[in-house]
Amino acid sequence: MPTASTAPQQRSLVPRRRSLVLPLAVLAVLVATLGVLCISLLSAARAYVGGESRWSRSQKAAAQHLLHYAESRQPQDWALYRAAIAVPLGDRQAREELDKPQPDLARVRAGFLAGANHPDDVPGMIRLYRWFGQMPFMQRAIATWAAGDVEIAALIDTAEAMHRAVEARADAAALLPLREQVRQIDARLTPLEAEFSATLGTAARFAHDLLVITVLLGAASLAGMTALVMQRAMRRDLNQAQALHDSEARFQRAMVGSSDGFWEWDIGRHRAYYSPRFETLLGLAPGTLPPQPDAARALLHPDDTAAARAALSAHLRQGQPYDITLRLRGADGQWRWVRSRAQVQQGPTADDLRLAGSIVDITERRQAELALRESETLFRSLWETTNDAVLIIGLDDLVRFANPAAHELFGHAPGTLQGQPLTVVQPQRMRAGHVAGVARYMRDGSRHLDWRGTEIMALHAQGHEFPMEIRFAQFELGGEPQFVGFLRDITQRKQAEQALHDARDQLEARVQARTRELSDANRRLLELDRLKSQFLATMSHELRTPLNSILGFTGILRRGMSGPLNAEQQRQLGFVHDSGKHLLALINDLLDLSRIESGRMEVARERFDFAEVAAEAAAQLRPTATGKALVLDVDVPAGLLLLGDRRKVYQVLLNLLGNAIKFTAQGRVAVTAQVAQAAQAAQADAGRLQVQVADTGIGIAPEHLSVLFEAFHQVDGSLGRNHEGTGLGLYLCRKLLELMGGDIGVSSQPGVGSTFRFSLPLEPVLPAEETQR
Amino acid sequence: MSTHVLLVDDNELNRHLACFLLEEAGLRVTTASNGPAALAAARASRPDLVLMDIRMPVMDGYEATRLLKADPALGDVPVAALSAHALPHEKALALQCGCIAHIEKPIDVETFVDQVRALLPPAP
Repeated sequence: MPTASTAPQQRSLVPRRRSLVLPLAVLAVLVATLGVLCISLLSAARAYVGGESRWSRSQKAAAQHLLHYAESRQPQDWALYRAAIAVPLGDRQAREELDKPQPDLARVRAGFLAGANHPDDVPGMIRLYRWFGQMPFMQRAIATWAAGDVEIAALIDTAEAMHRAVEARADAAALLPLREQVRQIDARLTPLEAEFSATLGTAARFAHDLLVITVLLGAASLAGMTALVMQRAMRRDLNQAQALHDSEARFQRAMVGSSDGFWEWDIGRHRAYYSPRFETLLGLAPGTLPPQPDAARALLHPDDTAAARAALSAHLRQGQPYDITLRLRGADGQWRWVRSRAQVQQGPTADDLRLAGSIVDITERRQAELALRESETLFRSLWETTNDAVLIIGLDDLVRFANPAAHELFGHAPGTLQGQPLTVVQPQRMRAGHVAGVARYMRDGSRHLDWRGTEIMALHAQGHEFPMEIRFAQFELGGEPQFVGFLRDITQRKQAEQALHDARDQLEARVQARTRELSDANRRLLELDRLKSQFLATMSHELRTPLNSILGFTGILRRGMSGPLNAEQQRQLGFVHDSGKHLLALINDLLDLSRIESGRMEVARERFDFAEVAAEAAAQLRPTATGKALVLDVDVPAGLLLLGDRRKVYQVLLNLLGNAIKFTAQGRVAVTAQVAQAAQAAQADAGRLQVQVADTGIGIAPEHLSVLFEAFHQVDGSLGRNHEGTGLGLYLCRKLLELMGGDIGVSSQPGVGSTFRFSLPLEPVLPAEETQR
Repeated sequence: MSTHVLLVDDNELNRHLACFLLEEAGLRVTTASNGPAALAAARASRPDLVLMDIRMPVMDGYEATRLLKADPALGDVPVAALSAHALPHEKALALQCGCIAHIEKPIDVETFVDQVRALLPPAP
């Protein structure tokens, strides 16, 4: 807005006028003064001319009256002479008085008045004489005048002489010289008069010429001066008009080209002007707003009214700039944010007060500002409330920003970290690495730290170091690379990790100790096992050695190889032999069990026919059965081929069959066997061999069935005395069958009999193995 | 000349029992009570069969068998272990040392002689 330029122009109007008028006035006064002076001079000169005329006429008249008087001798002629001669005498008195250095102006005036001059001419005559008396033309006139006065004095002397002669009644002849004398004086005066008149005429013409020249010069000067002043004034006006035009044009161009809307409020006349842009800015058609201040005021947002009024008041009263942001309602009813600026302008008169201003639509900027402020608020709240410490470091290693959490983290007073060097939070020993890392990063962008999170040591304000986790990123701020670091105190985590680590170490140590203990125990157990095995082997050997003698020599004796024995001897030796056999069986069973439980029992893989095994076992025990009058039935079909440990299968069957015979007093013992197809056809095996050993013996009580296959259990200890057994047989059977993938079970009815059943997998017979056979 | 069996056993009763049975069966039996003695006896009079006990003082049967088998003059004399070591690994070890069979003690009086005869090499 062109605001400040017009007021000085208005203020400069008065001096300009003065500069225009004053020279003209001075010149006019000067010209007028000159004119008046010249006119006064001219009139004074004319008065002298008139005076000279009267002087000449009076002198001539005096001479004539004197001549008349000489002839007539009449007093009235004398009186006429006296009256006529008074005029030159008055002039003479004035002249002589004026020639004095200190003239008595009253005498001068009286002299001139006596010279029959007009009273009004007297001051001018005095001025002319005094001012121009030394001028040549006046000098000549005065000299002439003075010469005339000498002749007049001679005339007066002659007159006096004549008058005395007349008085004395002298004769005419006596008067003749005097009369001649008068005529001569008159004759001398005549050229003097002519000269006087001529000099006065010259003076008058000079005065006239002077007047004309002066007036002409004054008029010319006045005209020239006026022309000059007028020209200057006109040029200035022209410049002003041009400037105004230019200013107006610029203003118009500015208004058209500017995004600003302009307004002006003539406070004194209560009128307003709104530029078209002002209106279009609000979505109004140009010319819509009436030229009244209220037109814009009505569009102002109610919440902004007070602020606008206060700003205006401050501007008008204290001269503070009027520049505020407010809302105006647009044509569409939406509020537009505008920046409103105004400047008051004082016109030339006190009541010419204008307020000129502009508005610019900042709705978008305002919205952007609001969005920015919201974003700023959001990020500031994050910045200030996050537990993570945030540091922003420039390339100069100065802390540019640090949030409250950062101050807390490093133990510094709030707001003190900003501008500090990084070394206040960085231990000296990490300095070189940091500098090298930053330099490397700036050189080729490679990071030696993982930006996602690295653990480093930090320096606390109290001097101690603590571990922290840092994640950082690089960004640009004002064209300068910045590093933003997110930091977290991980002291507790470190301690927890250390504790965990320690606990793990302790646990590991304990595990190792336990492992060592277990290993030792295992070694001891292995040693024990070895010792046990050695013991068993030794025991076996040591027990067998005497048994060799016992069984061997009783055998020799019973066979009569050492001489005949009677029946009783034979029977008793049988007891010894049976006891030895039983002892041997016990030893063998114990050895087998020991080997099974230590996992050293091996299972042979050989092909055999169960029917053969059954026949063999039956043959082995048939004498015993027959001895007890028992029927021993073996109903086993031939061709039940098994792939396995033949000796163990035999051992199991022999054991079961032996038990059956042992616990059966009368009746029968039967062995049956068949192949049971697998329940699930999908099974690849060839089914299972099912073997039953049934007897008609004493049977087993139900409560004993569950422990029947456990070690060292013999059913009903009371019966044990009658039925010798190791108590290991059934347990050994179960173990052997389990080794071979089989199982065993029993069903029994006390007093009726028992049936033991076992099953074994039938191995599929391969053609190759078939042919080997 | 009858078949000559060298019976090696440190136990006098065992030697007595076996000698009785073998001699009853018509075999000539010489005895030794430990390994070195057995080697000396075999070298002195080459037997047709050696019945070697395993557990013996001075030198056990395994070692004696190896030495016997290592002797060029006696390498082809069959040796059978005759031992109360009834455990399978003991039997296996005996076979490894060069024994052709293992007869378990206590011996079965009724079958012992047949077992021994079965081990004798066929008469030249």
